Amino acid sequence: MTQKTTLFAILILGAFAVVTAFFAGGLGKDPRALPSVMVGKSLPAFSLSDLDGNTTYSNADLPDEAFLLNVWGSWCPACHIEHPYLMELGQQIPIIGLNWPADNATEAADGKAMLARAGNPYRMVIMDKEGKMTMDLGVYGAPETFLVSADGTILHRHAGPLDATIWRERFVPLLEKKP
Amino acid sequence: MSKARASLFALLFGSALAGAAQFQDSRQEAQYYELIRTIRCPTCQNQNIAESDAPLARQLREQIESQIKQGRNSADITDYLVERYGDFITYAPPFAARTWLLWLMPLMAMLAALAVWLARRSRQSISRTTLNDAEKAELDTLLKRYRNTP
Repeated sequence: MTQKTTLFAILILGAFAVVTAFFAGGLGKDPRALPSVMVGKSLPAFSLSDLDGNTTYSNADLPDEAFLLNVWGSWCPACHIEHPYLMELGQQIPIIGLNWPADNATEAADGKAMLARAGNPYRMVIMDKEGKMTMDLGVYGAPETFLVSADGTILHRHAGPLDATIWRERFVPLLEKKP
Repeated sequence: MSKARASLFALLFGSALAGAAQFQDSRQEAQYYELIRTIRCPTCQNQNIAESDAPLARQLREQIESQIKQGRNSADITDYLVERYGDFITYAPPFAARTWLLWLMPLMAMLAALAVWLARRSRQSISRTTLNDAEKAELDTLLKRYRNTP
């Protein structure tokens, strides 16, 4: 081969290797997963009542330690799947339940029924009746779980059901980093 | 239209019309329909929120309707959504430092192709534009052979 052909061949193979590496890096990633732009920002201000509509809570009522904010709904199948794990996890870290009615007109009753039947892992449940809190958080599906620091900074957002592996690999390292 | 047909029509399409946004101002209405076509539904990500039936799409449409009625312009409303969902939510990404590659890549690819073509062309210089005798003879042979095939 001439020198020019060799050079050309090396360039082509090099370009191919770069493109392959780029695509290989994407294998296993979910193209529909959205990175949260809320990470690093403060939890949005809210004033929402619980499922009964009796008590109203606001940011002042949030725990003074790191906690989880779990977005859920009785209409969401994956939330039912995640529920037993939340019952377990709720004993390690406070979990605030943000109920998202979405299009379910009877979500207050349905949500209460779900908690009565499957147990209540939440220290506090707030219902996002207008849908504003879920929008302020950049929620695009249920379930979603936010890790929030003691001072109200969002540390992480996980979209999809939570399980022990995700907790260990994504949440625990962030908890251990905080002073 | 008969009563039966009218009820059937209402049954089939009523749900789609039920939540339709109402505007007094036709400019606001135009702004609304333009905006909901440029916002992607984060749940059904291959649809804009005008098309999507997802609960979040409905919520976003209502939010946009309410903000338009408060007099906000489309750029501000889009910023509001991008603040919460990221650039992905708009079908018209901004031209900023982080998106220049997205915008310029097609142009850069075409310029690169043009450069390669020009480089190759200048290297192959054609010295003659007519055939010499040997080439003429070869051309005649080939033409005779292929003209005669049916």
